[in-house]
Amino acid sequence: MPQLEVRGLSKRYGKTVAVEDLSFGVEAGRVTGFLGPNGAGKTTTMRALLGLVRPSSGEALVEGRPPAAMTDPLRTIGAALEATAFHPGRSGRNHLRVLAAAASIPRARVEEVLAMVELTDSADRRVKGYSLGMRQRLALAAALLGEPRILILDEPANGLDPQGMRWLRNLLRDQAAGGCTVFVSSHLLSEIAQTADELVVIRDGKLVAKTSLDEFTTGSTARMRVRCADPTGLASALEGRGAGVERDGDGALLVSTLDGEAIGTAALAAGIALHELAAQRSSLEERFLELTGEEAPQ
Amino acid sequence: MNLLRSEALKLTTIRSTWTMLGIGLLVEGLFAGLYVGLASLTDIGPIVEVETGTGLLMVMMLVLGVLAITTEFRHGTASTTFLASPRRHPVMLAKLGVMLAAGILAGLVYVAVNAGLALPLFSSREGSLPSFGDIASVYTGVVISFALLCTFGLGVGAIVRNQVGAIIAALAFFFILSPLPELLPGNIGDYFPSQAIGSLHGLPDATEDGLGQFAGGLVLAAWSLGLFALGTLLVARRDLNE
Repeated sequence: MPQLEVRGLSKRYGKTVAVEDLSFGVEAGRVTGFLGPNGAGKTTTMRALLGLVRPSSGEALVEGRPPAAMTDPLRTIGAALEATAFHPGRSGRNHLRVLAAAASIPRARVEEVLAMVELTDSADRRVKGYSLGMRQRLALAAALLGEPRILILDEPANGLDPQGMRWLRNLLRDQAAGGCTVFVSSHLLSEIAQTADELVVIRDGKLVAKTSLDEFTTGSTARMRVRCADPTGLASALEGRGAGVERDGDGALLVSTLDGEAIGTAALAAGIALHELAAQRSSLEERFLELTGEEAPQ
Repeated sequence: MNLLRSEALKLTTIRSTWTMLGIGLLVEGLFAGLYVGLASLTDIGPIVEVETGTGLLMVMMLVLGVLAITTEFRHGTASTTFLASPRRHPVMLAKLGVMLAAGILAGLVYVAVNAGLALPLFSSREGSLPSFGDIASVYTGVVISFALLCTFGLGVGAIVRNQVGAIIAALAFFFILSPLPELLPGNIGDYFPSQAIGSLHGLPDATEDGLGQFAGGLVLAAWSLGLFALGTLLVARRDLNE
């Protein structure tokens, strides 16, 4: 059973459709990346899973039940939401104490998570004076407070420096390795590519892809790049064998549907010397932009 | 119980709570001094003078109630709060409990300052105080009214949600709109909060030709709890998008 699941989830705000007929599940023990351009409906979906937003139709389920039915919410699900919501006048430690009190989590655990996110020294300062990175870490501390079975993190990498990013990746990997369900959103694929096992990609509130990271990168666009002594001759030989052939900039050919072995054999049969034969994986970013229909940044 | 502790921590771990109470009490003290200084100018009756100084504190109580819920929406902590407790009614009840307690505590501090400062100054000037029973009933009315004003603010805050809007709405309704029906013929004005609070405080104007202290208290309680109930229903139904 998926730990998190949305079934036919739709959410409309007046005439604006934020999420439309979205269905997918998120499994335990893995890091699942939730990708889509800004405004694709990621936050709305996450908020529906947390019971903060009421679906217009369809349902959002946590461990098979509606979020409002959770008996011990903070030990079930820990969340860090994009808005990094804190009272600016309250100290980091007191923010966590307020939460801990609501869920009868012992004081000692507050100190533990403060140490985990390396905020112990700044814990008594008011949040007003925190940098964005510190706020992100405090939000993570709040998410980890109840040692939850599920983590939902909305854009947790925003505002983190490269060290912070590495720390975050390790944290997510460790949590998943410990059996936790980790569901983490981003609008930047590169942030997630090194961490996620699974990807859920949405665009305009609709599901675009739900795959493992490996499938996502190979996918349908895997092609072979070939340079040879006689591109025209080889192109017609390959097309004769049913391959799709395109020309790359420097006179090389981009061949789809045939693998390296078949291309080599064809070249030998046609008597054309190969200079280069390499699998060309489309980059993650290209694949992501292709799916989400965004223009590549110039 | 956990939720009560959590809400109490929320209230006490921000500075604005203490600033507001401090200013309110300071002004109360100033009023006590002012009344002695301007002794010959005051001719409004001893009980009114005992009650004087509640004015700004009443405003503070309303604002405290409004802030108890609107800060959660303003800073987005409502999401965190309702993650820790997805069922929203108990959270609102905990807020109610903490607001009642805060109002009562603030009322008791008011009484302490009044009894320790205003009464001695008052008696040194006039020679004689109102009877102990009269003073005690004013004090009781003030303490109860503070708790109800916090509740009133909480209700308005839960309905309006926007912090500035809710503060303006609560104050405008309480101090500007609700005295207006007093101008109408008949006694309909007695059933609006500002007049009811006068009755509850035992002010002669409001009690003699209006409701008694107890009935005034009931009217104010009905307004406060009614607004709180409506606010709670709305909070439980609405989406949290921030």
